[in-house]
Amino acid sequence: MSKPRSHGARGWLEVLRVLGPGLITGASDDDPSGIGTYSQAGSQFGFGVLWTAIFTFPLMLAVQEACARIALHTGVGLGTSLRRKFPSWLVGVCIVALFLANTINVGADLGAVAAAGALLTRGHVSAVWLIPPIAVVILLLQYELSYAVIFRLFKFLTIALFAYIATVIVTHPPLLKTIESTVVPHIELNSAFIGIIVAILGTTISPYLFFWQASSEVDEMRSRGLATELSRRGVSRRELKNARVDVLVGMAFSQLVMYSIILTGATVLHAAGKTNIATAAQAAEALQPVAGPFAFVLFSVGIIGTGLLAVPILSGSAAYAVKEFFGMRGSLADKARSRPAFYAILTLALAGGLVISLLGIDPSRRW
Amino acid sequence: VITAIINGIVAPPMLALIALLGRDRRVMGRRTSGRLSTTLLWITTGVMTIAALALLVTTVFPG
Repeated sequence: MSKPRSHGARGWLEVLRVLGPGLITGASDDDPSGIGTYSQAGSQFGFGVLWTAIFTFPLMLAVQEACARIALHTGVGLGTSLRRKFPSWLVGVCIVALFLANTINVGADLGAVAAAGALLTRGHVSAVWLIPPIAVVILLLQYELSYAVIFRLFKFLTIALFAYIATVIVTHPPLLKTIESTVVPHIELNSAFIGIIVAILGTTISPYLFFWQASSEVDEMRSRGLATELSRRGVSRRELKNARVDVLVGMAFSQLVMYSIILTGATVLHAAGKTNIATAAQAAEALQPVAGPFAFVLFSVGIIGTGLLAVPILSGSAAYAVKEFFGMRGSLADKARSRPAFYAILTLALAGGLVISLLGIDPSRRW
Repeated sequence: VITAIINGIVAPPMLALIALLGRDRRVMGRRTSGRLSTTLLWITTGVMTIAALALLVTTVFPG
């Protein structure tokens, strides 16, 4: 099984080397829409929702591990595997639902990144003016950059999430209360509480993560020179073990960040009576007077970093799922000119999100 | 948050398909899901379905 480890450092290096699709997928799970959901949960229900971060962890882990394993063994994305096994109308409905959900999610995340950007300029630049340039820059990067550069950039952006762990440290949560509400579940039977539970589950265990995890494993194999489906088929115990470490670290990191955001909402916002938070940017804004400018800047920078990571992953996973369903070729590793259909779907998802976020923002309000 | 609720409603049917896929010997050969993994997947599907239905019921019949 595992080699004898004479030095701890070597073990850690080994772990860092296998990190890839799992870490990136886990980080993209804490997108601005997720941050908004966790902030709302923490600010509205205080410590009462902290347990969800722990209890959803094994569920999320099992789901993402299954997606990774199916992709590694079959050598194709989830869309292709599903289409081969199930009736195409059924898979078609799922893919359409995924595409719509992702497009709406892109809209929410673009809006949140722009709102956070506007907050950081102290309202000198209105969010509406930031949305189109952000969308265009993301699209250009997806068109132009090579696979290796895009994924290095993604890994780099996961660092933004440490901002939320840092926010917890600067806001000093009460230790005993935190521990107690972490392990003892609390449930209320009213539509507000159930709504937040559905939202927490949905943003933690989201369809785009299933498809991204799978397509990403396939891209990773392709980048190692396994160009055909036949050459990618089958998975060794060792590859499976590495993928499990990757998924485990990614999901644990994802849940730690989720936990930190709920905890910040509970410690700072709920305690200060700010219980009507609906978006990530509102949470950042509300933090400032209570927790100080440092917490505010950390929180806002985190929104921008994770938004820049999540938007291309959302539009990307929609494009992967659709092209897999139709049996087309194409991936982010390919040049846009050689795969026009794939990049057209990608652009459509992003453009749809752009329209939604522009319609969703009230232009009269300056942040 | 509306985005999150949409994801919460769309996810359960896909989870069911993934659970079935991971257990299929023709697809997965010797690498089918273990019992623990399959159980957790079905629990996830169940919990998310119940939560989505509960939201529907409490929204339609408040109180």
